[in-house]
Amino acid sequence: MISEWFALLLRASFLLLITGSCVTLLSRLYPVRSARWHRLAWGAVLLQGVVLVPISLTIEIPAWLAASSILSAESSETSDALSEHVPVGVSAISRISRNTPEPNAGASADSNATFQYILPSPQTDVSDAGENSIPSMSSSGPVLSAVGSADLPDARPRELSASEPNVSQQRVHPHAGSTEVAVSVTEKLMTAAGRVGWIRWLSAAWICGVIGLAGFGLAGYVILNLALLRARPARRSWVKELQNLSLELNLDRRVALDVHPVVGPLICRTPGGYRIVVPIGLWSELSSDERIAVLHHELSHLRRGDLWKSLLARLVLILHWFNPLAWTSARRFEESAEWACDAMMAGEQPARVVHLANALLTATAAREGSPVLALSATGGPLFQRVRRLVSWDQQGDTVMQRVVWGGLLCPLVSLSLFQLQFAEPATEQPATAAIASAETSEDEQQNPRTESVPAQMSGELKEIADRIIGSDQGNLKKLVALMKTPTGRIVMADRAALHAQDAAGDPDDVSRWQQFVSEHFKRNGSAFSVNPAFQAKCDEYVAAVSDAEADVKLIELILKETAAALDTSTEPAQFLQRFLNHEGAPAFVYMNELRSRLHPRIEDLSDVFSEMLVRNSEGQFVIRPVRRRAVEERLRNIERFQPMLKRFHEELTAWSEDLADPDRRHTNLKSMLADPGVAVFLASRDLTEDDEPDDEHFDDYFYLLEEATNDAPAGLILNAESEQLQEIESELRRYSAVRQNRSVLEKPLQELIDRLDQSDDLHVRLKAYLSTDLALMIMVREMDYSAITADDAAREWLSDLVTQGDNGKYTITSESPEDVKSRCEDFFREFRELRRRGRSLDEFASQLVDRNLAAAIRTLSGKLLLQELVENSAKRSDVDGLQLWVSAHFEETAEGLKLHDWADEEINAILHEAAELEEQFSKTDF
Amino acid sequence: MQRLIVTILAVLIPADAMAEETVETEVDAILKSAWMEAGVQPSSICSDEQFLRRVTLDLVGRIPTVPEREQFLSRPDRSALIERLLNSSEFPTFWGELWTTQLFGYETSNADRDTLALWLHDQFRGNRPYDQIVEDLLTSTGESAFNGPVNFLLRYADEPVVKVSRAFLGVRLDCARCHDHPFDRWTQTDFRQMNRFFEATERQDVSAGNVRLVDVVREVSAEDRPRFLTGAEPRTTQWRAEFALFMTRSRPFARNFANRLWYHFMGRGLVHPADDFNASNPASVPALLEHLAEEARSNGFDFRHMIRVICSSQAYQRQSVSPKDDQLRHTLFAVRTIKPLTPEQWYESMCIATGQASRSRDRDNLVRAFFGDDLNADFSSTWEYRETVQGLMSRLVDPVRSPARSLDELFIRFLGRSATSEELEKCAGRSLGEVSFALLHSSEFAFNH
Repeated sequence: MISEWFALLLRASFLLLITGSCVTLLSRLYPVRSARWHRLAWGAVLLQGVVLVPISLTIEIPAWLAASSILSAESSETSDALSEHVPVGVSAISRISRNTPEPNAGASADSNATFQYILPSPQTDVSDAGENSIPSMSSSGPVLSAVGSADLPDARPRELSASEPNVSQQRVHPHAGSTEVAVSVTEKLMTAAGRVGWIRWLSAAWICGVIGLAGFGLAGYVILNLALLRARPARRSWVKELQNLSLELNLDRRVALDVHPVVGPLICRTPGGYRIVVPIGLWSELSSDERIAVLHHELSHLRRGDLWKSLLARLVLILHWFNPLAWTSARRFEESAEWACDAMMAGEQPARVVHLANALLTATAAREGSPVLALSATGGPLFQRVRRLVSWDQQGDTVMQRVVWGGLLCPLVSLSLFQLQFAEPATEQPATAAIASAETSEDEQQNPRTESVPAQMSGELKEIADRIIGSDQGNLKKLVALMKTPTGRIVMADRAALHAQDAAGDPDDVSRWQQFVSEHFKRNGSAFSVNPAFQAKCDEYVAAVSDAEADVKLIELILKETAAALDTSTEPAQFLQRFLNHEGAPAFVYMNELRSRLHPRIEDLSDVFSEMLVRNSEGQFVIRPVRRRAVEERLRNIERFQPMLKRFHEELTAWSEDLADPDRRHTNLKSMLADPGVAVFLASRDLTEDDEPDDEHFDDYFYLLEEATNDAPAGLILNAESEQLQEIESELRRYSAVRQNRSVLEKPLQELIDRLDQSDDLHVRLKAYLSTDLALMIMVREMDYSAITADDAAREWLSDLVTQGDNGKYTITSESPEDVKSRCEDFFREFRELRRRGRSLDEFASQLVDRNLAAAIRTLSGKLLLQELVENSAKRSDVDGLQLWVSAHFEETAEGLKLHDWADEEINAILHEAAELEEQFSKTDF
Repeated sequence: MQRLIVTILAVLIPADAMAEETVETEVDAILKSAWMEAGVQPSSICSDEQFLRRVTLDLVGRIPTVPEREQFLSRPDRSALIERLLNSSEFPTFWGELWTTQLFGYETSNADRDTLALWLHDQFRGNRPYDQIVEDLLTSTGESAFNGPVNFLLRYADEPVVKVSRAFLGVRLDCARCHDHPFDRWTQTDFRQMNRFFEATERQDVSAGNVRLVDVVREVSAEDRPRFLTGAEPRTTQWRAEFALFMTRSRPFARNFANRLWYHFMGRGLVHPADDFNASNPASVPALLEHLAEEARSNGFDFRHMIRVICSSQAYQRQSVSPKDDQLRHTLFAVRTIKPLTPEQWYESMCIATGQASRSRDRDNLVRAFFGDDLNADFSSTWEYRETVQGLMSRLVDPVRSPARSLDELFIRFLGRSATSEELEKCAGRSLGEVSFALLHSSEFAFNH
């Protein structure tokens, strides 16, 4: 196999050598001036190096000739045998090789055997092949192969193409002399190689050379890229020059202009795209015209695709590194590219010729200080290049020159490129291509290419746009396109908002109440009973009213007592007295001022936790996104605190055991210290979850205990006079009150826990923590909660408004008596409104089956609490305005959304609105 | 072969070969003409040490560490340094904080500052274009605890146009609130019509510390419709959305963006003060302002690109030493203007210098101490602040052991440079702790120069 490939390569290299020599001679003997001809000629030479497998051209011969011709197709058996031994791409040339030595049809009776002599299969020993190839060599020559079709019954010529080399086992035209020469040479080389036996060593050397050169080239490219890391974007004015030039040349590809200390000028393709790199020193020296001329030259390389052509030339060079003509050809090929670009620029802008010549001279002069990398400055001897530049308009070649060059180049190119073959007339047209084409088409239909959807298009609009039927024509096409633009989104959002507004409305109090009743109560004739789903809530309401009524009674006493002793010499005081004596005042004071103190609710608790928790619009409590890290830290601290708390409790228990038990005071303290709840309550003092916990936190308590006790024979005796004992007892009394009213706080806390989001581990951990006694006690501390009775709470509240003088009379002490008056007026107004609305509530209560509920509703505090319940129950339904708009203008069908016939106007209106909006957007300055 | 050799040489040649020439950008070319016209001589380019400190403070909000200094000085590639800082995780953190302060101030009662800061941090981390950020700030709806950008408008619930026009257009429209603008063309009508864009919103309380901002439809007569300063008027009910596009597509928006960035890096705006574009306060170098505005527009308001443009310029890299009464050179950016560190920069730098870990609570305390009780007031007007700050600084620094073993190392840690012989002489006999304290209070530490 290796030897086969190597033989093909040697053949190509040989052809390159011949062609290259011809072109060199031609350039010397009959030179042309045109750079294009040079480029073409050296390109043709390099082409010889890559055409390892020639393109077979089949010429269909007339039937009358075919009938009498000795030409015929080979057998399919031969073809099969061939495909067993050689790669597909090689088979064509292999078969030609086979054709050549065949002396006549009769000699090819066993064509397989003949073929194997020349192209040994991998199983065939090389030495055997060598021996067998001798007769082939002896019979080789420009002799037409003539395998009789009669011997090969199934043979049928087919139309061939370059893409089907495996089926190109056709006859070579007897007069295709050059091809035959080449074939002959290849065969000789292969045979010789096989005979000598050291072909493998040569192949190995060639592979090493290829790898070395390819590595060298790759390393060069990598190093160039490394060097270009030091390049920086050029000044804006220089970039502007390039941009203007690109516009002038209609160049739509983006090319960056970078400056480098030494590299350039050159144009290259880097991973970031095309870049022109220029040396900063040279570039600063050049005038603007000279810079533009150089840029024009470089851009000409890009427009002509010289970068890629040069790469191909290099690849040929790698393949034929052992061939000196390949090196010369590549060099001349690139050199001619420089001339061609100069000529191109000169043709487009003759005025720039002088500037480019000047730039070349400057670059050469500066070369000492700034090594120049590109061929733009080193392409051929400078003198020759500058001379070509300045006399560009005299570069016309005579017709004779062109004919001679063309006449020589054409056969040279065809020498290796084409292989002429003659075929009998086709009898049947293969349908494969058509079928393949049909299959492809079908595939495309099944897997349509998806267009990239603009990122800015909202999902909902995209979905609608996708479902619109007929969106590929007329106004609908424009609408769908519009939906992808910011303007379109605004116009559609407008439509959605208007539809949502029309649909939603704003429910008033009456409709809200009706909705509440219909949702939670069942009507049986004239009676209403509570829906089972609402029963629990209803019971809670009744209990809350009961609590409120009990408190209201106490508050009423205090208000009336104060009113009686109020100094009413001023108008605000008279207003206040009227308020304090008012039947509705206690309930209003309870609801607005004292309720959260007496019966904390979840809202009051959430204030405590508001730094880390927040309630969203769905009513769920969620850790604030910005506080997640802090919450994690807190939970970590709490976890660290647990062992310390345990030790603290154990130590308090030990103190409890140490205490003597002479009287009730001692007994009380003894039992309290042993209570685990006390340890938690005391530990929660001054402890915030942010603190890094340590045992020193508890030192204060042990100091207090030491100061509050004295050692005695019976144990520790309390020092009744000490302040420290009083402080301890005060804390313990507070704990007792908290324990007694624990349910008051536990209830809302549990409600908060129940409504805590459980979507992730952090929330789960937080929930576990909030369920602990420590969390409850820290909450108590942060709320500064202390159990208080309603009358005390009322007195406390009143103390902000009035002060009792020495004469026993109360006077307003509020900073603004007028404000007191204003608040009283607000109350009277609200009360009157409640009284008016309350009548219908009383009527409703009289129709209720549940007597407790009816009684609760009839009370004033019941009415106030019910009002709150109705408001909280009212749900504001979110209306999807966009969907409303869609359903108003489109018909939902199985295929998608079909625009109603009458809705064209709406689409027109939207497009018109969008156009108007775009006009407004065009006003961009003031 | 020849090319390969030359290329290898190109790799080996030190970057210094680029010298000044390579860093002269279009910005410098424009400034150069302005200086020539005014007959002004620019100051020289700053040293690598100065550049390192300056750009580190400006991009990541702290002084460089000793290893960072050593690394940079061993290979002083300024462009590479800018890239490294832009790609560091500290960049979005500092710039998110910086823009939160610019847009929100320190007030926290009206809206959720932290949620906005977190959102801005994410925007900078994702290198979101400025115009898109502003669009979100102006048009977002949702709950303040979960949706960062809504907090901007919630913060300025009362006449948001005042802040919006200052922050994004550099126009003091509030001067036209009670009467026509005294130095510009804006009238009270302009003010009202601009403010009307924000009347189609509603604020709904959801829970403690959580407010929802929603759009509502306002149906008004044609004469009561809002109107942008360019004369553009909305055509739909989506006033805020239209306003956002009127604004972000306008040239004044681009100018203001460029000017604000310039102000941050240069210590002085091309239009100065940065939020006072008016007829009587033109740009000191108009061509540069237009150039930067165009650069911003043509590059999609890319923060990092603009930062590269400014920081790579010679203007940014000039020395800050100048004689007194050198106003013209400062105005034309021929000399670098020094600027005080923000409290956040000061705190983080102090932590770097003293080797302490940064703690958010201490940092907040320092900010509060800097600004006194009135967090939105100009701190320089509260004379008490210096004493308060000094006290706090003492508290922060006292428990810290000296982070260095020699005087020279101390100077490098705090000031990013070695001590001069004169300084060594003055500090002789003093403990390292004392010198640390003195350095921390020195103006060289407290200013970005």
